[in-house]
Amino acid sequence: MTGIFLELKWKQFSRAPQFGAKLAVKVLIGFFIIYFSLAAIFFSGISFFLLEKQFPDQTPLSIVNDHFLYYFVFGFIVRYFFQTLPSTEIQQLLITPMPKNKIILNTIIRSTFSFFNSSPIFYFLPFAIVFILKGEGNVFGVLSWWLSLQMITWTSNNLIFLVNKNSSALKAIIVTAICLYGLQKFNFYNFFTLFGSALDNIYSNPLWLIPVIFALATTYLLLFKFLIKECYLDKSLSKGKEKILGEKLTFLNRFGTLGALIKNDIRLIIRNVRPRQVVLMSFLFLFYGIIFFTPDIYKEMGTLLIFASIFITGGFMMTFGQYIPSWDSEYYSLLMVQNLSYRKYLESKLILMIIATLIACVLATPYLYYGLKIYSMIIAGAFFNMGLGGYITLISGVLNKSPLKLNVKAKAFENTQAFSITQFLFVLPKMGLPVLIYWLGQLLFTERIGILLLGLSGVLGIILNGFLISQIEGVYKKHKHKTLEAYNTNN
Amino acid sequence: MIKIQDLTKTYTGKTVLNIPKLKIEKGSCFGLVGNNGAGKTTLFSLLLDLVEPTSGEILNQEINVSNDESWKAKTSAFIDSIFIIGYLTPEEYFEFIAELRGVENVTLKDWLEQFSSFFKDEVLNQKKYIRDLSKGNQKKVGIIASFIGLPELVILDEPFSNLDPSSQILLKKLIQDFSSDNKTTFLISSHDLSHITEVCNRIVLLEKGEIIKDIETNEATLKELETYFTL
Repeated sequence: MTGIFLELKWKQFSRAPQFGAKLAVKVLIGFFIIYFSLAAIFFSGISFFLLEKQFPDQTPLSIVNDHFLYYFVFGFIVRYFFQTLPSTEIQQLLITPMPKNKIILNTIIRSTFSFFNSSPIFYFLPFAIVFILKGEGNVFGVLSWWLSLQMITWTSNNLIFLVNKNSSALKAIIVTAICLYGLQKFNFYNFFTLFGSALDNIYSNPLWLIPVIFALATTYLLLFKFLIKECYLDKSLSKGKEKILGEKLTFLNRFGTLGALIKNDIRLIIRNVRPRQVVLMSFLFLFYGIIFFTPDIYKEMGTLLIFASIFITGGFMMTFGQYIPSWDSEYYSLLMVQNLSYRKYLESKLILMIIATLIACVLATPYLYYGLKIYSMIIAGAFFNMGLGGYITLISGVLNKSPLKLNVKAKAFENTQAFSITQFLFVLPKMGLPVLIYWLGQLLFTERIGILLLGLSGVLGIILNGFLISQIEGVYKKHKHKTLEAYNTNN
Repeated sequence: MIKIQDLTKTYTGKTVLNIPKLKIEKGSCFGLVGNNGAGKTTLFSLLLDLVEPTSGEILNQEINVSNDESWKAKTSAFIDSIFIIGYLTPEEYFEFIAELRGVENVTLKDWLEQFSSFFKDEVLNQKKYIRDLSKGNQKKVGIIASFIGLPELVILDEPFSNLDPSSQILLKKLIQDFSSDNKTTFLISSHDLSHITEVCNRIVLLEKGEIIKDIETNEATLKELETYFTL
């Protein structure tokens, strides 16, 4: 049975348009996954020794155990945003002679082998092996410890599906988490060490595995029962009635066509799963600076600081912006026959990106903590993003030509439907150009002038906006029919 | 209104449309029939510059649709789901189209009143996104949106499919009234021969991309078409 599923998946992939390009991207991503897996394996092996050296009075195992709960919670949040049950596939199979039990069982089994559940293999298994090879721990204990981590991961895999379709379960989990955090905070009860010592116990006495097995079995059973019950088109498989968000926005009415287009984009973002996910991600870019601005070693590496500054205000542009005009792919034909010029359309997108950049500037004010120089770099970067970055983004977007399904969650590592080599190439000017401008400025003059030049390059872009938009308009017009063809055949 | 000259469309060596000459008069209601793959949607897509012609040209009121975009101000269309913005409510969708066509919001609200029997109580004030409406109601939204701003040319691809019988009958009347009130030219494709012979005063039959029949509608037309399509 799984064979048929795999065959369907393969056909879906191999018969898609632009198969060659997609294959190349998949291969590339495959390499990335292998690279990261190897890195994880290497890192986990090394970390055993590091922990041993840093904390000689504790065993590495118990340190990992004490922090496992953090990892678990973080993983749970990531899963909540990215992991989905393939319910459309269930839908298609409902009326085939395949029994329901089998369909559900298959879905659950396949989810067990998801990428999200691989961390025990890539991270904790090498750790365990190093432990065993060093001959310090007892083999049976280490293995049952590892097994418990794998089972806890699977348990969270099952929980996420229960939670995803059931908002009261989510509320229960959030409330429990807050209560536990509170208890921890006010030193009533240290839940983290409790959890850690429970894992320690499993190592010293494998009999403690039984509750873990029990928990895993329970969630499997619950999930199975839940899915069987919900396996009707009008239950979990349907979307249910949606609440209308962003109805008002009337203040945009006075801006005419531009206002109407921006209003649509705001609604697009708040009412569709995929854009919402992407825009939430873009907020993470705001924290990029902390990584680069905090360590002293980077303090004198101006180019690196500029690089980080570009990211801080460019989050929206790089996440949401790179998929313009793919966001409109579902109804691009409508826009193309409307009484709407490309110019207006492009202007509205630019304004949206500029507004987002300005908001990021305001949100980035806490970076003043790192000093005026850093903040002026952020502002100069923002000017570049607004003045030039936006145009580069728009061009890379139209060359992309992959349609997007708006109301479908993206899966991690499968987020390749709207991803192409051309976008890779456009990262160069988007990221490299600002760094180059700064680098030349500080090389020929001073660091201050480098920052100033970067800001001025953005101002220049703003002054030349009429000319630049015309150029991009030309590119969009040239690609109109190809874009339409790609959007309409794939959707 | 429309002048087509030596129009062909070829996909990887296969010709899907070949129309040496076709003229459509202003104010007429032009029907397009043909089995699947006859080239109906391709012709409409070419008229709307959604697809590039392999050769030949299309003039929409003397404007070549491939070179100049000014025809868009007076032309509107509805071609199935690719013309729907699913995350808007029907009201928001109408407002958006009205804004692009320069129709005031207040005028729009009054104007929409006349379609209340067509919408029944299933489209307006439902607090639902268009993506959550039934196929038939989505179609109603799209068709009425194409009427906004009194365009001179309206292109409708399969307007009768997915509609329930009473809506189909209402739609026929809507098209006829709209056409006679505003001198609007209609281009309609359909698989429903009786509806299209009733609404249109001229019917063109396409097969494998070529015009087989070009008929001024009369009492015998329906019979003639039925005979043709009976294998």
